[in-house]
Amino acid sequence: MSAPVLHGEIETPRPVRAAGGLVSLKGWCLVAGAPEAPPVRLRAGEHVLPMTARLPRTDVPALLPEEPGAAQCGFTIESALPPGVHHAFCEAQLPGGEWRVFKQLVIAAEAPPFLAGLDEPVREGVLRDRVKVGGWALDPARPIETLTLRYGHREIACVLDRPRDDVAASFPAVPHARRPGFISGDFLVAGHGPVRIKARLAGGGVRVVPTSVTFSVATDENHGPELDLTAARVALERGAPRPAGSPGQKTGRLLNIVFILPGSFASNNALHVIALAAGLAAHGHACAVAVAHDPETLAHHDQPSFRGLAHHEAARGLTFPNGRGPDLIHAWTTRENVRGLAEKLRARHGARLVVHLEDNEQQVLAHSLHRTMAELERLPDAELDRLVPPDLSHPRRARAFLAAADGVTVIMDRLREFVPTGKPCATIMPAADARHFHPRPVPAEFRAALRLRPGTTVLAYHGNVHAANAAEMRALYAAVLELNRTGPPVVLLRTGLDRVDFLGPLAADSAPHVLSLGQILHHRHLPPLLALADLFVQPGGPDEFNDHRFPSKLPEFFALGRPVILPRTNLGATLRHGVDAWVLDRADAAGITAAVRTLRADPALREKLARGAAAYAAEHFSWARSADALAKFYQTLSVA
Amino acid sequence: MKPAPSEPSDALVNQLRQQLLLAQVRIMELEDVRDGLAPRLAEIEQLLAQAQSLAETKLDEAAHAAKILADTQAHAAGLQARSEPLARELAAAQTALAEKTSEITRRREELVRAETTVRQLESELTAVKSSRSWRWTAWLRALGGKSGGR
Repeated sequence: MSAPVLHGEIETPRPVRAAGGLVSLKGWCLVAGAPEAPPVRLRAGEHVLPMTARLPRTDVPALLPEEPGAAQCGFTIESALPPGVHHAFCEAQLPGGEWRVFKQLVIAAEAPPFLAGLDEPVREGVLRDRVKVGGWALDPARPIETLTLRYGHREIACVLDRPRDDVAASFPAVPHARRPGFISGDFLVAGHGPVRIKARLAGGGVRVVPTSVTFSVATDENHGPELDLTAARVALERGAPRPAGSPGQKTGRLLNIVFILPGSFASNNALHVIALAAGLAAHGHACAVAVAHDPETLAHHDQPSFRGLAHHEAARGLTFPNGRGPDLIHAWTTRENVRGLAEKLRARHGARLVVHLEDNEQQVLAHSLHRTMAELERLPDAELDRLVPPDLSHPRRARAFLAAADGVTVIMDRLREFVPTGKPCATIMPAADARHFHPRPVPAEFRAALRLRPGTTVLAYHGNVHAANAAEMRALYAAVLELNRTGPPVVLLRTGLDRVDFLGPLAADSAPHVLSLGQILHHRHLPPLLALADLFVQPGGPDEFNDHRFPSKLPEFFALGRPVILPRTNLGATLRHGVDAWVLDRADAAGITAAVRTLRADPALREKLARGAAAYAAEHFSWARSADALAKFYQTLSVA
Repeated sequence: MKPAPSEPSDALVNQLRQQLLLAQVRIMELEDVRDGLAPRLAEIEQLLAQAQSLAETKLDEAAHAAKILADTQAHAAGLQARSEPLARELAAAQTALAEKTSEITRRREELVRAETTVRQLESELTAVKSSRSWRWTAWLRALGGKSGGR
């Protein structure tokens, strides 16, 4: 006698997911020649899920007209599986009693859902009374440790472990379902919004479920009726990111390039390197960026197009995706920690060396050590070695480092003074991230929500304060204070860290006029904040420090399309006063005060300068163009 | 112009403004996290689905291979069953063949022995015919031949 033949299929779409741990299968099965369809079950390890229902079928008899059991061969299986991925067998029972597999499945079962609800005093709708509220909550897998109710800006704690026979009866197999009730620890406080139940489970994990209840308690002992908690939120518009510029034509062979930064990915010059690396990557070059510390700050940037690593990792040697070492080392400044790593890598890999200058390094050192450059020059080597920290440039070693380089890049032409004669050199202009920094209107609704006094002028400055710019930042704060003393209000919106105490007695007086937000971790979050400003001010004046730097915030000021007040130094020395920007001989306290008054009094001038700033940015600042220029410079250094 | 009077609540209001702005920053950060997590979750869901599909394909392949193995084993068993009588016949034939081969060998040896005898007799005959007495008596055999021939 021949063995019985099974026909069958599972019709639940594959792959099968058991949402909330509940499996739901549909299909059909019959034994050839048998008068009735066989019992069916699902077996997954030790778990056996019986058939839930038998279903009539009209399609199967049409397909197998000679089969007497075809008309009733449909079935469903609906039951629970523990969380995990299961190898499951669909089995049918043969007339002799034996179970035989007719289909195999892989089922991904989710954890059973966290269940909770409010029902005391209401199950749904709006509750406006200051009462205690209660309900029940159950996670079938784990007991709940703490539970809170969240609504609006509120979170209130609840007392657990209250009996709920109705819930316990529904979950007889769950031991901790016997006392799943809870009640708020206190009466409701003022707040408005839909209620969510949030539980922290034993052994970790948090579960949140929405409810059908909204609490709308208007007042309490701390909130009077004047505070409208039901008011709509005023959002600060971010705007969708715009596309970045397109790279130019690719030239030369593809290079492995390592940039060496003196700080972390949170620094301003990291923004420059990241943008350039993105442009170089668009050309097809492979880039790595080594930072002196905190390599995890790379997470502050979205989708970096390079490998980020710490100096100490890079010092062990670098291998790029093509299996080779770096072809080119771009040392970002002559700082000691950069120089040390660059020389080490150059010796190991024999790569070309390019040094980037962005500051008058000697002046920065003098500022930091509180000595004059002349004093530093007179110091004996041993004393200088002792004094110069790793994150600053050693005057003598920096010169030797530059002399040994194959090429030099500078952030502005004035820095060519420090480039050894005859050394190949390129100026790589900084820019603003075009995806986020572009002309933005003042977010009027949000600014109104700040309830600034009528006629308030908002200035903005995003940047750190350090020894080298402390005096000019003090001048900016003094100007803000003076403007508030003598005219309509002025508010300074400030981001960045204060690395030195630069205000002294000005601190208390200026505080009411400064909105200091500290460091904004993600640079892309700055533009919506800066868009609140009416004017941007870069304080300072011509001097040894400013003449040789390019404040990295300037391209961002211009790109946002606001009037920019700045001193006639570095970029300011090249701008048209009254067209591109409002250029002051010195942007000291008096100069800034006068400039703000002038611009505040002349809306047409402000509009003209705003347009001029945006136009200047569009013409001069582009990371894509700067990256093209850098790529071409690399090719000229005979690295191809 | 007289400076704006600094109200006692100014600092508090400023703090509120600051907190409002920082809350906006936090919202932007959380939006970024949300926007990053949603596609990641979708990707992971897709990976799980692909893994399940792959596993099911492999299970189907394994089941198919097992079926082929079983069919092949059954076929081999059938062949085995059919080959047993043939093997017995073959063994009998081989036995018969061996016997016949042995017989042939024996006959061949007898033949060799007969040939040896023939060669010995021929040699003896040659020796007789070469003998002097045979030659001297040749005329007698000739006469006898003539008289007998008549």
